[in-house]
Amino acid sequence: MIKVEQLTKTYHTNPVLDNINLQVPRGSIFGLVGPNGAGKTTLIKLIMGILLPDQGRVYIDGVNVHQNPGIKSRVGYVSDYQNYYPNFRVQDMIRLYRETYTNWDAQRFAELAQVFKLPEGKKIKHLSKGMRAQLAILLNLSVSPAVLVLDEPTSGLDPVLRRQLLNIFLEEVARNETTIFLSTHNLNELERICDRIGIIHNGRVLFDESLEQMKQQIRKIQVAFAGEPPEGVLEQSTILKVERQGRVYTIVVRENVNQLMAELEKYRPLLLESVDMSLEDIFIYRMGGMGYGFEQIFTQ
Amino acid sequence: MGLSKFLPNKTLIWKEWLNNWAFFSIFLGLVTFATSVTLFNEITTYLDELERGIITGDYFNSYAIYRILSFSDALLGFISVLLTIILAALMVGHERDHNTFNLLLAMPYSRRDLIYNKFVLGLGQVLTIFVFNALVMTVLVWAYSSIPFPFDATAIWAWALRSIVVLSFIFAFTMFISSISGTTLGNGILSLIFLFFPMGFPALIAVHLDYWTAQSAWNLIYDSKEIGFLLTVPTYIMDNIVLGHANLPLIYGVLVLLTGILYQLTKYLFARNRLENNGEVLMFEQLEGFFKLGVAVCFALLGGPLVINIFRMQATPSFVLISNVLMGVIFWFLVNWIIKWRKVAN
Repeated sequence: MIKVEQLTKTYHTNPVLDNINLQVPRGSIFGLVGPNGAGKTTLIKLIMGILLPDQGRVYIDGVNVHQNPGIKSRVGYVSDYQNYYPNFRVQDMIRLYRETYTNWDAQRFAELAQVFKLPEGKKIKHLSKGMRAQLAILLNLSVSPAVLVLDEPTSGLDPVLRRQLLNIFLEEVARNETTIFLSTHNLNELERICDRIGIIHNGRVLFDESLEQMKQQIRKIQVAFAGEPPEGVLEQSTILKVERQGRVYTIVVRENVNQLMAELEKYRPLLLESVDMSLEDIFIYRMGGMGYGFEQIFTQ
Repeated sequence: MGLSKFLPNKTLIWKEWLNNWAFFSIFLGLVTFATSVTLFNEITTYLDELERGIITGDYFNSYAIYRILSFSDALLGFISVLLTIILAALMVGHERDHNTFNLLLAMPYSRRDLIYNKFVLGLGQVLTIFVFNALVMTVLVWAYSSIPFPFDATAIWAWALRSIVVLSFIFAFTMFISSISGTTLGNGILSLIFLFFPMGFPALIAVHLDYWTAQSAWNLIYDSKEIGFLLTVPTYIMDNIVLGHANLPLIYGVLVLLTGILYQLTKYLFARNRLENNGEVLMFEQLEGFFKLGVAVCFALLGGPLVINIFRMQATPSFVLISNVLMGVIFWFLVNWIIKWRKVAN
């Protein structure tokens, strides 16, 4: 389990993180999204105990990371840019991990090595970005982590490997109840694997909710009536948007979705169905409601 | 726990070795070439010349080795100092330059583990270089005991011991600077400056005292034994300045103590390093003001002597004064610019 309490960090005089509080339960996958410069990597480096916080604490399984670095023997970390020794060979990095982590799983390593097929004799400086990312994932999954912290782990990987990797993460959680903290720009990835999602912007977590909760809170309803819709029914305060195509109205509703469905049912519509929204659509409406444009968060 | 915390970490030592074996080999090679190999050459030359009747048996030309063992050879001393500074500067700087502290600190190692094992390997390497050569030279002296060497095994081991003590201090000092400075180059340059600073700073003051008071301030400063011993530590192995001193064990003892204190300071400061400042001139912003002022004052003091040296009699007091102020101002802005440039580049 990861617990972040009142974490604050300043670079020179610029506040980068402002009073961050988060909790990721054991065996769950938490996805962190936000634009470049929002503070994602800084938050991850603080969770890993690489950077020192100005204020606040980070706990992994109840142990303060900054005061007890030994707890990291159960934490795997894949950074956005693999800071490995350029003159080391792949086999040297494997040895470094194998000898550092007491719970190194040789069998798991052998299984994963079959998937990634990395050239063990090659120097790190001669590996592509994608190969480095694969090496980092291979090493960090082989340390039998109770917690896996991933900063843009799939960047630089081809779509096939990316998909394969997401499956490996899911398998890891199912098999070992690993807790995963994942930062990414890719909303599809988040939607595929995360249980919980947080948005960070300008050093603040704007919200932090379960994916299920988010999907329940905002939904799309498609409804068609024989004639015009009853007066006022599509003008309720929980309705964020109404679009019409022929007789079919597509309504985006925030909260009390079931109540609205029941109300619409009373008017005997020709069509009435609730449709799941994509994570991207949910974000657009959620962020709009908080005064942020989607572009502000995701396309900077 | 207890004493086990003093045991080096095998993996970290191996990792350090993998990073620095090439440089260590150069260091070992240079010292070996200058000492053991040179002594062996001198012995073979002596035996050859003896056989050919060029020399008689009671004269052994071991000028080079004798100078090294009596610390009269400034070159080997200076090279050893320089290589030790580079050895230590690379140990931390290499990690800073490649951001590999991020990797190590994400592992179950404490900041103390990282610094402690660097000290163990670095000091171990310095020890190895000099013990190895002392051993080789002792064996040579013993094997050719019929040769009238102007030194004995005691002189060889005294040379090794003194070199190890002085270079250990220099290693620890550079590591201490590395906990303040954010780049390999900055670390090396700052270590060099501060190691020679106690010699250079009084010299600058003396030139000014000479000029403004028309007194022989040089003698005032350098005739004083106390100030004389404040001359920099590197000179202990570049010059035979402390060799005949009665309190030699005390001087060695103080150096060993200082090495220990520097290790503790390095550990303390590294534990407080904000690694996001890697690549900047200084890791601690609080030191910037002191650092800028120090650079400006030193270069201001250098301005006058430069003018006096270049223009001799034409260097009027106002000209000297303006040079001081000008140099101080130029270097104040220069160091400001460098600090800002590194921040932006980071």
